[in-house]
Amino acid sequence: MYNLNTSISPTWCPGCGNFGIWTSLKLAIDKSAIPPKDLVIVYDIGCCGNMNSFLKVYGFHGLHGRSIPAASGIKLANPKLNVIVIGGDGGLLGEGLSHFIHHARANTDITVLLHNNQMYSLTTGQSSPTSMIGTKGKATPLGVTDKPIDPVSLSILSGATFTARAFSPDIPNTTEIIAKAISHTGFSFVEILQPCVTYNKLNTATWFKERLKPLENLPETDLLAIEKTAWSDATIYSGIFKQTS
Amino acid sequence: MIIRDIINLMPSLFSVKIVGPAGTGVMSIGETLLRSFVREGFYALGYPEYPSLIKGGHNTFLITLSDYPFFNNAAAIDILIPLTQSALDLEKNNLSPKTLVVPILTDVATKAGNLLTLNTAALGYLVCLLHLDSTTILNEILANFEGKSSEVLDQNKTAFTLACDLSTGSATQPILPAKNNTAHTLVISGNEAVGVGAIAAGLDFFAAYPMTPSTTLLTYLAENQASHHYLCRQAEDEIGAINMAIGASYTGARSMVGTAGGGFALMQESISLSGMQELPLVIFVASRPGPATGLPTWTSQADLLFTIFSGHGEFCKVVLTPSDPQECFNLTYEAFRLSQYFHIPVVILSDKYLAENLYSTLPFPKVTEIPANFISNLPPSDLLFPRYDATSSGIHPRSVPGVEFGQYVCNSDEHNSSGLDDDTLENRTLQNRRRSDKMKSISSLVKLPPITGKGDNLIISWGSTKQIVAEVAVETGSSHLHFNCVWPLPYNLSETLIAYKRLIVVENNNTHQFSRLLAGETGVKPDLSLGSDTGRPLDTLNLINQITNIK
Repeated sequence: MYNLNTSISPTWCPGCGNFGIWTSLKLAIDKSAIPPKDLVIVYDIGCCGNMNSFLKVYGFHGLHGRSIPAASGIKLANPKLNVIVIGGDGGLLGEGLSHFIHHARANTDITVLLHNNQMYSLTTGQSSPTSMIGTKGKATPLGVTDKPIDPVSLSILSGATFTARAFSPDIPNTTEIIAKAISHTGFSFVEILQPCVTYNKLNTATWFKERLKPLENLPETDLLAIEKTAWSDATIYSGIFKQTS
Repeated sequence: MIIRDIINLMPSLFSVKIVGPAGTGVMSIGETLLRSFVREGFYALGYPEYPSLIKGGHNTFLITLSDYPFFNNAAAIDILIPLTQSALDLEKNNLSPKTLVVPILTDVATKAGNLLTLNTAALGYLVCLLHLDSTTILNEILANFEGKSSEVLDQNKTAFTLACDLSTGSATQPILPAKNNTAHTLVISGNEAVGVGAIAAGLDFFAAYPMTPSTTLLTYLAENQASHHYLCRQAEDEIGAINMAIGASYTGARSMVGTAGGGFALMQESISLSGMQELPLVIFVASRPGPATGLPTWTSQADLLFTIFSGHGEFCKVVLTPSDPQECFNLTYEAFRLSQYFHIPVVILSDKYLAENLYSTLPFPKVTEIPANFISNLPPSDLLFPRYDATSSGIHPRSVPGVEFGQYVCNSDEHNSSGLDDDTLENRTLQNRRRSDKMKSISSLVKLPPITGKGDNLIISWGSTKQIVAEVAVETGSSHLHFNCVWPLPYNLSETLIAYKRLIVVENNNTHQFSRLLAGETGVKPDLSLGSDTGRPLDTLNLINQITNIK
């Protein structure tokens, strides 16, 4: 078994959701039996991107918001490679939102994992495009008033052929979803809900556990899938929303 | 209003200018006619002017013919072909008593049964007036209408033939230059020449977002990708284009982007990325006047310093400034060689004048592809590959994904030798020194360009203005030094400059950018800086006057 760890210990805060995602990712890579030389991980900038120091793979730690076009270029230039993007709600939905939509609609065969902690943590606590209304961030002390983006419905609408939502503390299900996303041919998108223990005091692991419900089955149409993507006060669905060839 | 003097600077020049609103076929007749002239044995330059419109406005195509390889626009118009009365009116100040104005052949087009055949009629008149090979030219025109109905083809044939007959009634018989051109049989624009150079170098990946005047490079490369085994991707925007290209480069692909000044501005952070990650990248930039959206369809040299100092932070790059299609081909080829060898971004800086002019030139030399530069065989190891280890030259071999035991982190953060994040003082000092050592190696490669002429005054230029300035130098008895690489500059430049009585820098911008660069890099301050950013090519007569009148 290929050892995916470098000699560097993770620098994430104790209790960070990134530990869970890092573990699920390594398990999913093992499960997918990708030859290590053909695996490329493209990291955006943020706490999630710091994972570049903790994985012994061909890593590309590029510019904030530009991980998706870089990953596309890598895959288009050498289709034999297996390309995974690690990005946060800032890089993938703020700075890089346009690239997210355009490369989803191109259905380029890459896997995009969104570490959604609804916060800009590496820059010490500003709100993000997925922060709930009312969130008090360092640059929004009066509370966020913009409606949050839902990346799962956006992914489906943009044409991604695999779209799912996972939860970072739930390692078995997250592993399985990531493995399926990797093996899917086409643009695979997984939103991984990730509590940030340092800056997000609202959307904690407990808060999510009170609301998360697994989808009972794969929705038959895009419209039916999109109906299930929205968060209500009581319910947030997780699982695979779309999977087509 | 002043009628331009006909100054017989170069007596064996002849010019034909086609003018009309956008949508009347000025550019297509212009190109067809120019190709015909070259086939007949003339050296030719085609210079288009057009506003940023799809229909209407005032489009012009100026063809200058000569009996030796010569790339400047003629000072006077010998034949004017107006396609509408309003177009003719707009040209009134450019005419001289010698100008032959081809009649607007609406009657002929009407007789032919289709007013759209007006431009074909104009061609027929001119071709027969000048006793060119009308059969071949007519066939070419008809070939352009492939796919249209036989009715349309017949109408055009009729218009051409009727107009041809009419021209025999013309009193004037223009005198053309001698037909000396046997070898310069390739007709090509600056942008297409860049495209050919890229393909010859072994281009694997090209991405761009359309922007005048770089768009024709994207179109050319898009058309040829299937037959030449590279991928051409129209990107969602410029930032997407350059990041795709850098990602492609990471895999070992020979990679290029194309853009214009404003798009280049959007790419700044990513240029810095290529420098930091040390991934080879060729960046084509075609300038137009700014600031902001500026004059999209006009020419400029006002982005020089911006280009040389592009990308935040300090890293190596090379900036090449071709002057004609041969240099477009050769320097693009060299750009791939330099970027692969040194693992750097290399910029090819052109402008609308060079990008969109149509030149007769020699067919390009046969060259071999530049191989992608990476190690594909590594000994077994449990560790990451030391991609950024120190070497005496600053260059270390690189691995690419797919190579076993070659894993490393290609990092935009400051990093240690295997690419892992490292912000320590020792590491930063080491990596800074290693990256800047590369510039020393590159600088030693740059030779002083040849100086022509024996005058005491030295006129200095760069980029697309070479032939215009060469003409000015000849007429003022000056020496001429022209740069096709503006960064880095030759290391022994100051010794050469101080040997001259006067240094005069000529460039198409308002703020004397190359002058300032020379002063800063060599310590030698030019005496005079000439040129301006009007969007038009440099005015040869004005420059000659200004330099002649220096006390």
